[in-house]
Amino acid sequence: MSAKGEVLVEVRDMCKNFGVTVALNHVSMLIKRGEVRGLIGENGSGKSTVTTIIAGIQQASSGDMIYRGKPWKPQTSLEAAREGIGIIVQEMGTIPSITVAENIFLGDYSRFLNGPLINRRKMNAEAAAALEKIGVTDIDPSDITAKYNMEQRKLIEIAKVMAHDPEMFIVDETTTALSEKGREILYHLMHQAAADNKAVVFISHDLEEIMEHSDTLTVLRDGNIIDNIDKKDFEPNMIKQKMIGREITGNYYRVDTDGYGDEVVLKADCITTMQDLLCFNLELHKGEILGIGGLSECGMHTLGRALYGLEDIVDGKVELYGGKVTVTTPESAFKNGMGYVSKNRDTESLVMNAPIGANISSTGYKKNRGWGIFISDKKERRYEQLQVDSLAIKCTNVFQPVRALSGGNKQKVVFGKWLAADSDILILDCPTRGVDIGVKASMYQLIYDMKKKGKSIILISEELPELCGMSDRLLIMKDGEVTGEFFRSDGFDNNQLIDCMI
Amino acid sequence: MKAKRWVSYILTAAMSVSLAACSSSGEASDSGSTTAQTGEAVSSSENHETFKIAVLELQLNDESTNRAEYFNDYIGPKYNCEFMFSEACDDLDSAMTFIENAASSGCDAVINYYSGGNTEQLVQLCQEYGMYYVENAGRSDTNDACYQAGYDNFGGGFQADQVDTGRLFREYLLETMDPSKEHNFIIATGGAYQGNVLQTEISTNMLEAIQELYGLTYESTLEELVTSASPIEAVNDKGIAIYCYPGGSASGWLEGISAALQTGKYDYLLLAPQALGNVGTAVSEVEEALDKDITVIGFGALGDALNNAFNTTDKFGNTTVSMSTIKFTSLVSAMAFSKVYNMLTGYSEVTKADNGEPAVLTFRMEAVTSADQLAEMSGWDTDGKWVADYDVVDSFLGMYNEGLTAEQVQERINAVTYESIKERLE
Amino acid sequence: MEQISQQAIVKDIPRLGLMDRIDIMKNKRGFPLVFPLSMLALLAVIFHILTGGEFLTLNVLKGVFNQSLIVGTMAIAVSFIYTTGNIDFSVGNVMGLAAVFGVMAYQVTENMAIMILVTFLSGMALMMCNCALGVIFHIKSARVAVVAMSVYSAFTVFLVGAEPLKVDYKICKVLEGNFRYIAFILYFAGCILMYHKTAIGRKLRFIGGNAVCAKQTGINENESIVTAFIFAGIGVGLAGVLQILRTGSIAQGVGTGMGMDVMLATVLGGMSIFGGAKSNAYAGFIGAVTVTVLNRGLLMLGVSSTLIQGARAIIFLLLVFMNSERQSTLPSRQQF
Repeated sequence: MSAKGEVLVEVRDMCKNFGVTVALNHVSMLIKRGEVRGLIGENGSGKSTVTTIIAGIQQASSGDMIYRGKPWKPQTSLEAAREGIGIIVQEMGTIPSITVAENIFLGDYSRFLNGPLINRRKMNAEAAAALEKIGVTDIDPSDITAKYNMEQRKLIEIAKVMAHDPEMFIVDETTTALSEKGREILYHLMHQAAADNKAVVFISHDLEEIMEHSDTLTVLRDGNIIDNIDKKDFEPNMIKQKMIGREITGNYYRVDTDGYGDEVVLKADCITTMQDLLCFNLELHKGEILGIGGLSECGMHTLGRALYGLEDIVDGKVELYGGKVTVTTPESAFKNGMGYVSKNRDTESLVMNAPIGANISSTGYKKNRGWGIFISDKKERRYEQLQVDSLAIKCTNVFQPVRALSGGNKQKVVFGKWLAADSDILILDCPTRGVDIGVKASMYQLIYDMKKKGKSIILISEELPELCGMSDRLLIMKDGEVTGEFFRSDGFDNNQLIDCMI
Repeated sequence: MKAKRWVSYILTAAMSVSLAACSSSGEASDSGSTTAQTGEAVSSSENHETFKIAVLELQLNDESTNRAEYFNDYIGPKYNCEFMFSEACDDLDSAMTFIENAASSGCDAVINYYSGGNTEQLVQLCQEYGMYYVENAGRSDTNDACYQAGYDNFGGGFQADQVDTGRLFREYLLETMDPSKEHNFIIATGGAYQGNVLQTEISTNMLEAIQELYGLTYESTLEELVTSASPIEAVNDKGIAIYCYPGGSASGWLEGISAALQTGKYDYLLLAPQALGNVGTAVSEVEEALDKDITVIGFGALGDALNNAFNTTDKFGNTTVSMSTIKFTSLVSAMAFSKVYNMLTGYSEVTKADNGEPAVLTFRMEAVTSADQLAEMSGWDTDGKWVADYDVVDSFLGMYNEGLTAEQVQERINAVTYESIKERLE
Repeated sequence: MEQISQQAIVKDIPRLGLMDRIDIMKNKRGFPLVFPLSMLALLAVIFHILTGGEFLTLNVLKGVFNQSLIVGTMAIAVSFIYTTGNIDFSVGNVMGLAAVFGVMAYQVTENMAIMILVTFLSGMALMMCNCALGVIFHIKSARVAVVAMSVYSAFTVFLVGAEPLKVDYKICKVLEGNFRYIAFILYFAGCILMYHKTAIGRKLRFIGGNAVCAKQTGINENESIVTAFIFAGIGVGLAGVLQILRTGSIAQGVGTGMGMDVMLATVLGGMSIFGGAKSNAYAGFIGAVTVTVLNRGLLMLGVSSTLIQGARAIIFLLLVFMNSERQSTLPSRQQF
């Protein structure tokens, strides 16, 4: 039996670079049995990089690792999994088109081989056991994975990792995709593993969460380890400061109670969609930040899509500017000064392989015309560079592909695209999802600046503090209906809000 | 990962280097060995100017390999010619591309085995680049204008003697068949419906032979039967079943022939297209299944396919093929070569007929009826036993024969018969 | 805590590996144009040296250009379609059938202008047909292409019959010279302008890169795809005209397999046939010229016809390998 506190993984002097960008700069760290190690840092600080290298998803540029006293250099995540290192990644780690059981035992089918065939019954039974082990009973292992929602798929992934009974398991930014219940399951598993004398690495942006569940905390910034902090020394402001490298003053939400205009710029008139919404009404005013909150499945995401013309509207209509325009397609929405930030940033809001510049200028083909229909390169470059500079997007130049950026910087590109378009009405669906505090703060500032310029914003979010901090008016939804309307001027009461949600 | 990537770089590099090495060393050894073999020929070649001749091939097969060997290893050293062969040309565009590329490689003449349907374009293209041109085709409606137009780079065509080939089939049928026994026939008419003269001639002769043998009368004209684009029954007053089946290389043809054989009605398969190699399996299947002896007659080139056909016997003790006409690749090649060489060496008049228009040279096929006969020819038309040897080739050339005419060349070609070759080679 | 070693912050940049450097180079802006062109130039120079200075002469280069013209024109045309992530390999047959209609029109009217017009219009009409099937009925373009390919080639065979259809070759010869240069240059310049200097190409790339994102950015996918097919149609029609002028005759098999030649040319030119953000309108033409240079160069070197195929295949592999986009980690793990 290995002793508590024994070093399980040692990382020595590790470097990783993507082109000229340094992701890890001579990082060394020890991961010990019996503790939950929190990793925290801004987007791009290198926390995912170091853990994915340990778990074999990518390889380091230089440096060594020791695992269980032996040199460790996994070439694939499968190899790492077999050796007892499991990782639950930030992005979706399941394949939608195969069954749940197949996902759980992906790459490990040989153990179910019965002659040349796979013994599906055995595989399904073991998958069910694996799910049950983490306390999930409402998922049928023989179902196609696509049938389940994002949260359930995340749970399947967790089951997959736990099925290998790992010596060390890494939770990379997983909690954002989970509801309260899912999070409880995961926290329980983490603490259980630590109690069983295994090692846990926990990555999260949520300072509160990470402080609560970690035993020690390692802070990374720009690929360097800044500090290791013991639980007894945890102090939010100190940690934030170490993460960002400067002091964060006060709160980053808006503090004013300024009102908004009377003019209705967007009106949903009894709209009914194929799913979720039945005769839904909504009004958005000029200069208003309208928050929409609720549980993930309450229909607020569908609402955002419907307002932008992305959902088929079966009945009713979405009108702009007092009925002058009806939104039927995203094309008509865009043409009339609307913008939309999807909650699925990587799959819907960006072309990952396209350069940063091309993503930003995608809203400005008309504006950047020089002569006739021809686009002026100069204007376009200025259009792009302006956003890169004002949003401080970390990149070498605008020709760098977006996929090479960190989550926060990607989100900045998305914002930049709509800022550049100077949209009058913006629908933001979970705009700060997976974004660290620093970037979050600047996003809030941007949203507020837009409001002050007279733009109207619909802010859809699953995070109550954000909604309370930013909204002029807040609608809480449940089952496709508004269950409560609250005003900033009255002050928001958390308990009241939660009551309306559930 | 990195290692793999490097390995792949290295492997690709190694492959390209070795291939490049292969190609050059292959050629080097080729030329080396030929100089050794034909030592005396090379010395005589010093008198000649060097020429480069491009050969446009339709297909890459036994015949084209044989031809390349003949040209590269036998003709090249003595007459101081270099040859350049195309890949298989599947359309006019690629043929033109090859000719253009050949021109920039310094070729002086083009021998076209690709097709006779586009004489005008190819003659003009060659003219543009100052190259002589001959083609493996006869004179027909499509290229008649070129013969009359007086292109000074056009040396005319060369092809099989169609009438004579038809005669071979006709004579064989009349000699071997017994009119008192009733037989039923499938005649594959090949490209006759598309205007292929040779196959029209062969199909017509076959139908005539049957007519003569049984003294029957067809209800349709011979032309209708031979040029029908869809399968047709040659209905006649004697009740002999004769099924004319057009097509050749296209997919579905063999299936059609096979289905007809499986009816069990027919015991003779007469092939106008060059398809002996293809029908073997279909025929033996039917022979096995229906216990019926089927006689196959067709035409081919000297080579493995034909050897196999004559050396395998069916369950009745007969060879798979009963009779085939054959051609000698070197002779046909020598005809083509002599045309361009005469033009290159300033004896253009040898390629012209009496009226001053380019002449068409023809060759006769030989009929083979047994494995023994084929065995006698074994080794013919390969290295060392070329049917068209230096004497034959020289006899076609103006530079060695004062006042030679196209008519005389034709006579000399006709003199190359089975008997004369046998005498010479043994 | 004291056991955990505290690493001092080191600010030097780690040494870059070769692959990193290549990666950085590939993300440079001019790379998609500069790289295939330099490969082409390198190839030409190698042939020039190996042939003893015979390759880079005006005549050879003119010949290379002429031979690349048809596939090159088609590749420019199809790049519009490829960009959107659609694949249409029936273009060869479309070109063939358009040429057949053109020649038939000529045989009726004996008028070259009418022939050119008919070829153009039929090329466009047939491409629009493919487009309509794809856009209106939402059938995957590759499937449309498979069907279109066999239908068009069946029509071609039916209409042409055994004997090739002929046009007066002398008139073709006269027209071939200047007409084809002017027509090609106009088309090429037009495409480059439209693709790279207006919203058209940008929208197509965006659709190819991420159709969902394009939709959310207010780009009408159907409209853009129709535009793409119109440009493609013009090019395919032009290729049909060039084909008639080059050979003066149209046979049954016209255009068969050209769809694949076009794909090959595109890939050699450094563009992915799956389209996306790094697409362009010129890759196919560069690729077509590369193929021609390779064929002609190898032949001029005296590589025998049996070895040419192998040599060509290896060089193709090498070029495609060097051109291809390789991701250093899982597609979704591009974070740092």
